[in-house]
Formats: sequence, structure tokens, C-alpha cells
Amino acid sequence: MTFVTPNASKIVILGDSGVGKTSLALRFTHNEFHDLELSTVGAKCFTKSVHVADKDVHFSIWDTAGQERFQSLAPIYYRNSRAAIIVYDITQKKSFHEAERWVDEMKRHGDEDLVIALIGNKSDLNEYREVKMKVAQEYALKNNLIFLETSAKTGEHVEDLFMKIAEMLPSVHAKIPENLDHNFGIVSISKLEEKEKRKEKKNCC
Amino acid sequence: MEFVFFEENTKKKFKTKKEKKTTEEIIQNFLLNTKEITYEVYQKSMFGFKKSIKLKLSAQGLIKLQNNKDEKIICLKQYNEVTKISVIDTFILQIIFRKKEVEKFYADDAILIAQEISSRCSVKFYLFHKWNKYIVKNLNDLVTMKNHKEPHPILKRVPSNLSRLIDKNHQSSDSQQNSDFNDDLQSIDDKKFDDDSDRSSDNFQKNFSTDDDSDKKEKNRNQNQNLNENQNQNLNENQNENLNENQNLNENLNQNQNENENQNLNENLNQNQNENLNQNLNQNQNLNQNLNQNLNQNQNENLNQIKNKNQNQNQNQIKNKKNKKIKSNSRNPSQKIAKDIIENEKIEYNFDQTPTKSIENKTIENKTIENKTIENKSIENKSMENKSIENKSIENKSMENKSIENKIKNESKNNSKNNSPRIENKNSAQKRKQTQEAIIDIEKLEKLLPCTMKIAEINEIPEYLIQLEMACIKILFIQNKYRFDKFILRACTFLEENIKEIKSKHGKPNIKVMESIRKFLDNIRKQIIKKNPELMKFLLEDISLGYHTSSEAKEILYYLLEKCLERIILLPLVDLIFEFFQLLCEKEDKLLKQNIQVLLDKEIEFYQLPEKLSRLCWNTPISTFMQFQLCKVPFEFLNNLINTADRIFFTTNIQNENRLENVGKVTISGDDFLSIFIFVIVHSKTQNLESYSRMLVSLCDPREFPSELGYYLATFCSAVEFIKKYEDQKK
Repeated sequence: MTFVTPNASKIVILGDSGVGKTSLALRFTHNEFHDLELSTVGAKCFTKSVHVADKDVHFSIWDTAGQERFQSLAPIYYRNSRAAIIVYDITQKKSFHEAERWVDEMKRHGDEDLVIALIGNKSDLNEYREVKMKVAQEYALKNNLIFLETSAKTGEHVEDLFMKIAEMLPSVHAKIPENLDHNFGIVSISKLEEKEKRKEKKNCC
Repeated sequence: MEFVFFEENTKKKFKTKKEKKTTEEIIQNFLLNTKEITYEVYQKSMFGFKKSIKLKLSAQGLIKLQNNKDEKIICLKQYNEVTKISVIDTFILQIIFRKKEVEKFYADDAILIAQEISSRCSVKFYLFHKWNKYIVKNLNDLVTMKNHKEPHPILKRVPSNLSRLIDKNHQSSDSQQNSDFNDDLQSIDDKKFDDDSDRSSDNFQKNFSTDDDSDKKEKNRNQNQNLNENQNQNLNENQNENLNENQNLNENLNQNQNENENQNLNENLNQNQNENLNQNLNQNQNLNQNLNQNLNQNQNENLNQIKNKNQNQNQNQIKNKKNKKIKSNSRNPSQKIAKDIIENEKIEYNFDQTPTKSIENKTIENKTIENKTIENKSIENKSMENKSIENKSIENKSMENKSIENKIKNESKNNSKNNSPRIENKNSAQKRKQTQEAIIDIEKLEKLLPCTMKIAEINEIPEYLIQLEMACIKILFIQNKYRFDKFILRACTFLEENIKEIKSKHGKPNIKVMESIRKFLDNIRKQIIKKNPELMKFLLEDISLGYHTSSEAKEILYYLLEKCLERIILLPLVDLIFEFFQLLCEKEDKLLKQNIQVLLDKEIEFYQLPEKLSRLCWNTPISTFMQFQLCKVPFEFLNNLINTADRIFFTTNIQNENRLENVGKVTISGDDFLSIFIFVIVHSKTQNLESYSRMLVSLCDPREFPSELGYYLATFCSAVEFIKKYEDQKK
């Protein structure tokens, strides 16, 4: 069991299934990549610290399930997170559209000071690229997002990504855990649904 | 338990070839190159280091573990017969011999054996990759310490006596309390603490892993082992059949465990009750005998009896007086302390509805002085019966005896005068009783601690941390007993009222009670840390001796305190809390039950797992999660979730190690993990999932939310939510 420091910043990794969320976390925390190889670490909560501006920033990285049917459960994971890494696969256009949807959701329901990073993964597979870098870059600029293209396989820009996030975090000290929502996102789902229903009703009228 | 090795005599050669070899080859090489070696093994406790075991290795491959006390020798047979060594459980090492004999060794022995083998060979952690990080960490250090001829500097640093610190803390924190009571408590505690601390781990084992239990555990492990073997063998066979069979097995196992635990608890309760009842019965029998004798004997003899009875009367009167004093003494300090607490209380409880009933009437009498009341009742019975004897005997008495009676009265007066020093002695005895009761309460608490050893095994917590935890519990319990009692009773009445509100169907339950309980836990933890800087410093030092960094040690200390507080405060409230949530989430729980029934009929393909993963057998995590319902306090539930997750990864790792051709290598990504977790929860057929999830979310330590525990809690909540909304998704 890992003991996380109380001021650890929670980072949630979101994105379509198969875009390389787990690999990205593994590369950053364990400097490992398992391409259909034996993985002893497994998917779970990863922890790592980085040193930025004379301060240690502790990360607690939460990997999530990207399937469509689990999308409604995402608030349980991203609740009280300080940064969200939204990953897409540069070789799959569908995953980019999915990332756009995640960005919208995080903008609407995430905390005000939430740091959002849009990451185009699998940059080592440039030959099979379907998402142009310019398009993604423009989208990120529009929405004030951190943008990088990474490769979990080669480790390209992975460290840079987390360093940037650490720099962008409003303060090194995390929120006091006592202020955490005791409903843990469960109620928030129903609240979200209610909101959406109300919107739908308004539109209907 | 943590061990530090020191080489005493070495008459062997080292082999330092760094080639990849099989386990068998490594062991054989080790045996060939090792003649004889003796190790002194030091056991690390919170009071320093103790020389506890002597480890002897001979050229024949025999390992002898010599205990200081029993000189118990464990013979491992000849190593060259060993065909396979594997880790079957977190704390169990399995050694398979050529003659198909299987030997299993528990953590302490296994560590020694495995350490020995690994330190002699190039593969340091070959056997330990699934073992906890602490052990691995320690092993790492041990290997580097191997060449030290002098004692390692860590050994020279023997911590000061904890009991002194405890004394100081007692004096500082309990100064408001009754000094006499406190002195007695301290004096007894001082004597007992040293013994208890040494015995604490033993007590744990006695309480939770008696001989029978250990046998059952072994059986369970055997069965689990067999399950694992079956998994590998029967992968080609129908998985569903295996699942059903194994589930039945596991259900039976769990039922047995439940029964055993309940039996143990009931036995403890019954023993106490029976003891009191038996005492009363015996006393009554004796008194009845006296009655019969009185009736049958002559009047002349009655005179002598009257003398005796009057003496008894006097004694009874004294006893009654004493009882009254006990009652008054027992109430007074607690009431005083309760008042002090109310006055000094800085924590604001957010009970919106203050309990209307007077709690004080219900108070400590109900719990802490139960034994006393039983005793008083028994004494009252005695006195009543004595009175009846008196009446009967008086009937028999003739008026002629009046003069004699007067004489006797005079005698009795003299007797009562003579008895006055006895009363003083009895006062001190009362105090002793009170202190003993405090200690008995702690012992009761220890007995009530559920699954402690299991959790230690599951969570791979070193034994010294358990010892520390026990010490913490004792200190906290003694320091804040009345405060805890007061809060528990208050929360109890409030929960009861809320339950009534829910049952009435028209009332509005107040959910904020959980927030209040959580806040109380958080605040009291803060206060404990603030009020006991010396003790905390000492504990931190002791934790960091286990090779932790300062920040890690702090978190471990927080974790320990949280565990202790949950045990002390939440354990008595657990049933009410669960009832509260059960009533609150009745509809959701029903819906979940229905959906689970539907999902049970679905095949594994429904969960959309990758083909390789869907071909694996997930019985081990399912059986682990079945124990979820046995947990009581939040950290136990969270540990069960972590353990279930571990077993999920363990299943894939077994597959990867065995490399069955029909499945190949498998990995679990974040995408797959939730699906597997849902599958596991569904097939464990756990009920009241919504109640559990709500309870955990509201009562878990918020500090744990960003950690691994929080992650698995989120996964659990997600899985419950998914199952709950299954029908909606279908529509």
C-alpha cells in the first residue's frame, strides 16, 4: 500500500480506450513501457514527486477506464482532482473527438482552477497519423489547454508534460482534504443528470 | 516482525557467479558451498532489539531455528530434495519436495529461510517479488549489511523506555481526573504495560489465530492453493462449472469463518455471564444449605447460628455500604470528568438535533459498570437471602433468647468497630477493581478487534507496526476513555433517533450525523498529536527505524492513529451505522440485488474484456471480495478492496509466470480493471452494496481519498453505480 503525502495533487487521466493512458502513467512513474509484455505494476493509483521551483510537487495519478459505457462514472474519479490529462491517439481521429468531448465535460463540471492538458500520444507512430498536430494545437490554444505530443513507448515529452502541469498548478499546497466532498461524486452524477434534463426541457420548450 | 541478522561464525565459501539459474540449481549450489553457519537473529520491537532466535545452517542442508525459550527446532529436510519454491500467499512460502511433500512456512520462518537462500545467491529477490515493500526494503539493507562485522549502527540506537513517556502523558493529560484513580491505573498499567507490550502480539494471535483458527487458516490456504492449481489445470475446461464449485467452496469457507468468529465472541460473552451466574448460583446453594441446617437444628444450636448470622449481617451491611460507595465512586469521577470535558470541549459537534433524552441516565452504567451492577445485584441477592434466613430463624427463635440477642448485638457492635480498617482496605480494593476494569475494557477491545491479523497479512504490515498500533490503542483508550464513551453514547442516541425517523417513513433522517462522527475522528486525532508531542516524536522515530522516510513515517503514524480511533470509536457504533444506511438505501440495495441476479446469468463476454483476460479464472479475487461483508470499520473495508485488487493482478501474474500456451501473456490496463472489478463484485453476490459504499464514503478518512485506498474506493463506488444503472443502460 502506498502512503500518499497529504498535499499530493490528484491527477486524473482521461481518454478513449486504447489511447495509452496506463502506458503514459507507467512511463512517468516507473519509466517502463510494456507493449503486450509482462507488467508487474498493473493499473492503479500511481505516485511520483517532481521538483519544480524549489518545491516538491507530489502527484497521485489516477488511471481511468475509457470505454463509452463507463463515461457516466468518470465524475467519481475526477472529483477533487487538480489536473486532468486528456489523452488521444494521433493515429485515431475518433479518439481526438472523444478528447474534445472530455475537454468540454471537464470545463463544465471540473473545478475552476483545474489544469487541463491535451495529449496526443503514440507520436512514435507518425507514419500512421490521422490527427494533424496543427489542428490539435489550435484547439488547445482556443481552450487554454496545455498541449503536447508524447510517446509512452520512447518516453518523448512525458516528463515535460508533468513538469508543465506542476508549474501550472495554482499552488504547491493541495486543497485541505477536510474540504473534500463527502459524497465523493456519487450525488454529483445525479445532479449532473438533473441539470442535463433541465437543459433538455428548456430546449424542448 | 523485523529481523536483523549478524553473522557469528562463517566456515563457508561464497559463490558469486551471477548467472541465471533455476531455483533448484541455486539451492543446490548454496548447499554445496555452505558448510556451517550460525546466525543470531535480533527481533526488533518498539522497545529496542531482542535476541530471539538462533539460526543454524549445516552442510547437510538442514536449517535449525532455535528459539531462546522453547529451543524449538524446525527441520527443513534436505534442500537437495527441493523441487520448487513459490510464494503462495503474502506471508507464506511453499516448499515442494521431490517426494511430493509440501511444506509451508509462515512469514517469520519463511523470511529467515528465504533471506538465507537469497543472501547466499545472486538472485536476491527472486523469491520475494510479491512480498511487501518493507520486507524487500529490509532485505535490501540486510544484504548490504551482510559484510558488517560490527553491530550495525541502528542497533546501538536503543530507544528510551516508552513506559516513562506514557507515564508523563498520563500525568499531563489526566491531571484533571481523579488523582487516586489515576495513580492506581498508572501503577497497574506500569506493571502491565511492559508485559502487555511484549505480549501484545501474542494476545493478537491468541485472540484471532488460536490453534483451531490457525489450522482453519491453513486449511483455507490449502484450499485456496488448490483453487489456484485448479485454475491452471482447468483453464481448458468449462470455467462456469469451476466457478460454481469454487464459489460454493468459498461460501462454505466464509460461513465457517463467520460461525467461528461468532462462536468466539459468544463464548467470550457467555463466559463472563456464566461466571457471574455460577457465582450467584453457588452462593445461593450455600445459603440454602445453611437454611436447611437452620431449620433442622435445635434451638440451642440456633443461638450459635444467630451469632454467625449477625456477623454475616454486619458483613453484609458493610458490603452494602461498600456497594453504595462503589456506585457513588464510580459515578462521581466519570461525571466530574464528563463535566470537565463538556466545559473544556472545543470541538463542536454538528448534531442538529440534540438528544432530548438525558444521556447521563443511560451513561456509563450501561457499558462500563455493567460488571459492577452484576456484582451488586449478586450481593443484593445475597443480602436478601440472608434476610430471609434471618426472618425464618427469627420465627424459630423464642422470646427467651432476647437477652442473648442483646449480648450478640453488643458483640456485633464490637465486631463492626474491628472491621473499620477492613473498610479502608476495601476502598483501595475498589480502586484496584476500577483500574482492573479499565484494563479489562482494553482486553475486551482487543478481543473485539476483528480480522486484525488478517488485515496485517493482507496489507503486508510489519509486525512492529501492529505492536505500535496496540500501544497506541492502549494509550488513547486510557487517556480519552470517558471522552470516547461520552461521544459514543451521544452518537448512539442520535443514530437510534434517526433510525426511528426512517422507520416511521414520515420523519426526516439527519445524514449529517456521519459528518459529525468523521469530524470528531479528525479533530481528536489532531488533538492527540498536539497534546502528545513527545510520544508522537518517539513513535515517529520508531516507525522511521523501519527504514521509512520522515514524510512516509508521518503518514504511517496518521494511518495508525486513524486505525486506532476507528477501532475505539466506530466499532461500538458499527451496527447502528450500518442499520442506518441499510434503511436509508433500502430501495437501491434491492435494485442492486435484482441487477446482480440478472448479471450473474451473463457470460464473461458481457464485460467486454480482452479475449485473454476473459479466459482467466477470477476465483481468487472473488473469494477475497466475499470477505468484504465480514469487515466492520472503514479501514478494514478499504483494505479488503486493496486486497481484492491485488488478487486481480496476482491472477494475471500467475498466468504470466506459468505462461500457459492457450492464453499467453496478459496485462491489465485501466480500461480493463473496472470491468474485472465489476465482474468480481457481481460474482461475489455481496448484498447491501449501496449501503456499504455510502457508509465508506461518509466515514473514510478524507486524507486517504487521493491515495491508493481512495482510488480503489472510487473504483468500488463506480462498480456499484454501474451495476445499479445496468437496467437503465439496457433501456
